Amino acid sequence: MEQPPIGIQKAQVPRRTFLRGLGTLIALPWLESLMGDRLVGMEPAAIGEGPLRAIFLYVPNGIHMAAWRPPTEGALGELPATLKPLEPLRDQLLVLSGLAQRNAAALGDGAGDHARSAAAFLTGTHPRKTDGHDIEAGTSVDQLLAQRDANRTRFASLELGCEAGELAGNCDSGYSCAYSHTISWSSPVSPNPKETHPRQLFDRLFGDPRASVGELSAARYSRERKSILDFVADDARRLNQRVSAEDRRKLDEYLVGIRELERRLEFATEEPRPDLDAITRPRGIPRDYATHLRLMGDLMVLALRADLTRVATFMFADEGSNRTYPELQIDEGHHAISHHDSRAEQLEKLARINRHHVEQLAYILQRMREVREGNGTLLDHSVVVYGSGISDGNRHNHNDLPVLVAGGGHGFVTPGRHVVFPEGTPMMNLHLSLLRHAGVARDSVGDSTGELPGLRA
Amino acid sequence: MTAKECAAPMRSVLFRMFWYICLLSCGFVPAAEPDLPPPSPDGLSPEVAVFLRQYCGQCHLGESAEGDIDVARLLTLPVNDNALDQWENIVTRIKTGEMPPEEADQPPGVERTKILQTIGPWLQATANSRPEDPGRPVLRRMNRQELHNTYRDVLHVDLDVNAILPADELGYGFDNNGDMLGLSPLWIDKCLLLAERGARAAIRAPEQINEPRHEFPEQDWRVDDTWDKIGHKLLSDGQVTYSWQPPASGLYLMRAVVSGERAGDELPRLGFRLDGRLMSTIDVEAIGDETEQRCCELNLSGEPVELSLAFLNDYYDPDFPDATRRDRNVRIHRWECVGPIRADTKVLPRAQQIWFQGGPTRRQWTDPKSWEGPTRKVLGRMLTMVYRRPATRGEVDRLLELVAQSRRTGDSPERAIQLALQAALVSPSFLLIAPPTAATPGDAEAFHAEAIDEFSLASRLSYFLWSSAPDKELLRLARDERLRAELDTQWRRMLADPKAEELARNFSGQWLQTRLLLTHEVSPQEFPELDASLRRSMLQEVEYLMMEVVREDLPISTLINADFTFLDERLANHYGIPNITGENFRKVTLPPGQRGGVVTTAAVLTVTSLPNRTSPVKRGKWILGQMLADEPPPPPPGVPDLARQVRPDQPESLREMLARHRADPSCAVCHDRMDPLGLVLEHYDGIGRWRDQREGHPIDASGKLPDGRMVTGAPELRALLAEETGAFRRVLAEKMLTYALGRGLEKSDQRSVRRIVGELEAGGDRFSALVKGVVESVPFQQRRVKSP
Repeated sequence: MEQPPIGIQKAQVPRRTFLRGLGTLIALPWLESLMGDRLVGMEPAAIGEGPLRAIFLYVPNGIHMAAWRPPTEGALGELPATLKPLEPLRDQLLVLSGLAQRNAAALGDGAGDHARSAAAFLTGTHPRKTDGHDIEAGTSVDQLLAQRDANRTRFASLELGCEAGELAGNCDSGYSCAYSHTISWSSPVSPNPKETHPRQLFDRLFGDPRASVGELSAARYSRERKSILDFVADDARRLNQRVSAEDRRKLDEYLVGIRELERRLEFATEEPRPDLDAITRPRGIPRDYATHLRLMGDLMVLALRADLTRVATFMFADEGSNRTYPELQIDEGHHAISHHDSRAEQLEKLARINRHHVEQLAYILQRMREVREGNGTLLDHSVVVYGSGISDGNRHNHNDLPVLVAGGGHGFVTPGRHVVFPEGTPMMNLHLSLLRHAGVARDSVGDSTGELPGLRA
Repeated sequence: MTAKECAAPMRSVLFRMFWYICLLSCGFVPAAEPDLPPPSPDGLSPEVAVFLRQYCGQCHLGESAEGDIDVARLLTLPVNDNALDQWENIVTRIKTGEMPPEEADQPPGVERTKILQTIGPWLQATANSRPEDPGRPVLRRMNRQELHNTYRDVLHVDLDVNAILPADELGYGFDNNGDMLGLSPLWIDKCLLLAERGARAAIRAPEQINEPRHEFPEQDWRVDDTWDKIGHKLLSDGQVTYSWQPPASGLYLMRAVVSGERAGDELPRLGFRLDGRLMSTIDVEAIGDETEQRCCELNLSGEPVELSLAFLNDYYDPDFPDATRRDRNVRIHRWECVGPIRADTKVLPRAQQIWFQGGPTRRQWTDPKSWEGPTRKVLGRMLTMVYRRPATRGEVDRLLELVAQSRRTGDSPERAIQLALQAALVSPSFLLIAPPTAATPGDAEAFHAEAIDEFSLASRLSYFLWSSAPDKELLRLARDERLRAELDTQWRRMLADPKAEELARNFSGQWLQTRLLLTHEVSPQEFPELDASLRRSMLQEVEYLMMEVVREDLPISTLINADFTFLDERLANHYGIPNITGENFRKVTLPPGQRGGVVTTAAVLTVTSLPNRTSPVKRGKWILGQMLADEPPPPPPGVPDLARQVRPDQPESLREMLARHRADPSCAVCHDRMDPLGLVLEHYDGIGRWRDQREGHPIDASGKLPDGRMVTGAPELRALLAEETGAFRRVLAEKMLTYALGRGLEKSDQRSVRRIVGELEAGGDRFSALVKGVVESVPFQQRRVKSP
């Protein structure tokens, strides 16, 4: 069923108002001085209905499902151990059981379930097994949404993470590390790198691009930038005539990037920026994982709130991550633990890590709920999909995936429930429903077979 | 139909074809004519054809040939790459006795040997006579390290590139893989920021000079009634003036931080006056709360001067509908002079000194007729270094436009050329290493191999050996087309240059995977000692070792069994080696036994361990993959890492656990090879420390190889590895070629690999022989070009 696009047209509020709204923001541990003197005390912004936002959060290595899955279908009762931190947000949750990413399975390609599950999570495609040459998955659903919203916000989308990638070796069984390191693909051959450094993210989102070049008028700055971008785009086009078809895609990607920067210049000239003096830039990467994760989450919420973007992906950790969790007294790697071999001791550790991640999810959702937008909250206007492309880390199965949706998403779902789908229902059906809800007309996406029923009660 | 019946001799090519078609389509076989030889490729003895038909034909003939090997087809069709692979395959199978299978007719041993002796040389000769394919072309951008070094060597600017750009993805184990180095929007975004910083550091424009600064306080300005003291603005045509005694003669910058209020069609215009003379006019673009800094250069003699800022185009329309657009004014926020700017060129950034030799002078810059010539020269010099080849006329023209635009707004030549530099630094011509100069063929298109031009060769060499741009000498030789002729001298010179440390560092850190140390996680309970400084020391040991091999041109076997290493105090303590003090690394002769060669470095032993214990499996896999070119495949899906204990109540040693694991035949295939090699290293704990016992039990450092040999301890492992020279040469040839080409190796590269191995063998296994082999290889020297 074709849904009318929701939310976007309702955002009549000028950007200026959104930015002014930054001043009234809730207390953020790392960004406390955001409530700097000059901004505090400003009138709370009159923000109308917020536009629809879509956020995709990923956790690796599967979940200890017994501690995740609510015991009964229907209205959510007391949450199981892993989801417990979400108790205050129970009315905002829709737990979806039985969804599958069939294309993450081997299908004759042998080992590599970690790489495949991240690559398939938002694309629903079976990635090509290669360590580099001819890398290919599919355009991910966040990017389909972003491409639709591209001209409305300064950033088409954000890709965030907490892990900066490997320094040597291989990631997973002959699959390029790119497959394990991102869930966002701007085209079937272009995996999007993610931003993992809070300060770099902060500067990109809120920094004044002119700050580093002295005092320049915005008009002059954007004119100079424009000439530079014209010049290099021209160079790329000339080179395009000499390269192979495969490399042409790479140059096309370059040109897309250049166009995106040009587009952003238009925003740069018409938008005032938050007062930089009143904001403390994050210094570096916090040593503590949860702090790092929350800081990235804070910045993401800020960007959504200021309508700098409407689409974000955030990998809590890269797929196959073997991070240890000393803060949880776990000194084995996450990936090693996920191969629990049904040992109670390992399962308990796994559940502890799962719950730790869910605590961070709860933090981000709380932040979103604290942002008032018109008669609702940022969370009401968002669809937050949280999950993993692997169900049981020991079996590497990609059916019965752990997936939950938080937020109302302008009526996308009726939260507060647990819905169980028939075994093997494509997860891409959820994505297809979301795309259509957001007004992106698609017959299918990945291996979707139709819209997912039962999202609304 | 039996195989013998198929062995039919032919009269002519035409008849061969007929025979072949019949065989495929109707199964018809012409009668045998024993006195004529069967068809076979040029130069191959007909005996081979007879042999193959007789012993292989039963299964490998015709449409339903097994394993897609059809000997009839192989014997009749032209010998292409695919056919050569099949021939190689056949030779291997016959040699190992795998074919013909046991149940089939077996050729007598003598015949088998004879046939192999016939095919071998023919195959080699045929393979070598075929034109060599330089392989798939890949567009490759610089990675972070290469960008850092290039900025350092070309712009003479040292920026913290890693703090700006996101990490590069790895491909085939290396971070310089063209397929993985994408040009994503996020990356371009950051790259532009990097270029901006680089350009501003490489060229210093007077606009950014702040010392010595002389501020003109507003209360000392001479003003008339056009000046609004409260709003700090000029309300109508008029000026503010300041009498000033400059401290000395020289070049000064009069600067004003201004903003405008707009009305009418024009922007507010501001004039800079010296002693009443209009020196420069600018349009004020900043509006509202925005401000901008504008400036005007002045040559002052040191005598007192009268300086003025004048509003030149007042406009007022009280009836204009938009109340904010009725009155045009100029607001002055700050006014100052900077100078005298020292003409002393030594204080200018180095790149600027080099590029700006010979102008444009201030006089030339302000003269519409004479600014262009010297500016072109600057751009030409700059672009040659930045693009690592001479710029085309068109490229200079287009950049000149950018410069002209900046000049028109009143910028200094330095600021204008700074912008041009910034543009050049995000151009694909800078970012891509040796991009194609002629049309590249598509997958299905005809192509031929062509030697790359010498500028491209200079870049390939310098990014391979230095991870940086070619220097002047390389570019000069390329310009004179003498680089190829002097290739040998040049790569040897480059290898002797300190910049070749980059090769040692980047190659060893990734080949041996020791870079993982920087992010390797350990259990703080188990290994609290492994702090950042110990990690760094561990990593450096391997880098120093590799540098020594490069610098002293040692045999590659040094990496397996060196009797020396490089240590600082921290690492020496870690190894239990006394009398090494301080943070300086020094060459240390090792006592025989515990240490020597990369395998027993703490770096390697740590990155091949789990966070809380050793992993014989990971260590064994590392040895197979990184030392013996024999990396086992990843485990099949659904296999747990280590199977469940049978009796959880009875503690099991790691060795026992692994043994139980190997009892499963599907695991044993690979683990029989991996586990023993790793077990041999059990004397080294999870961070590479020596231990005599583990949890109270003495260490058993023995491993039984699949062929039954027992190996115990590191010295025996070293001896074993040292015997495998062939495999070790091959590993280095493959990894080094992958690194040098910036792409994964393909079938067409195997000839190069073999040749590099041969080069090593002939060159006494010296490191330089490895470099020579790579540099002279076809994929390094040539590229595919679309045939007309």
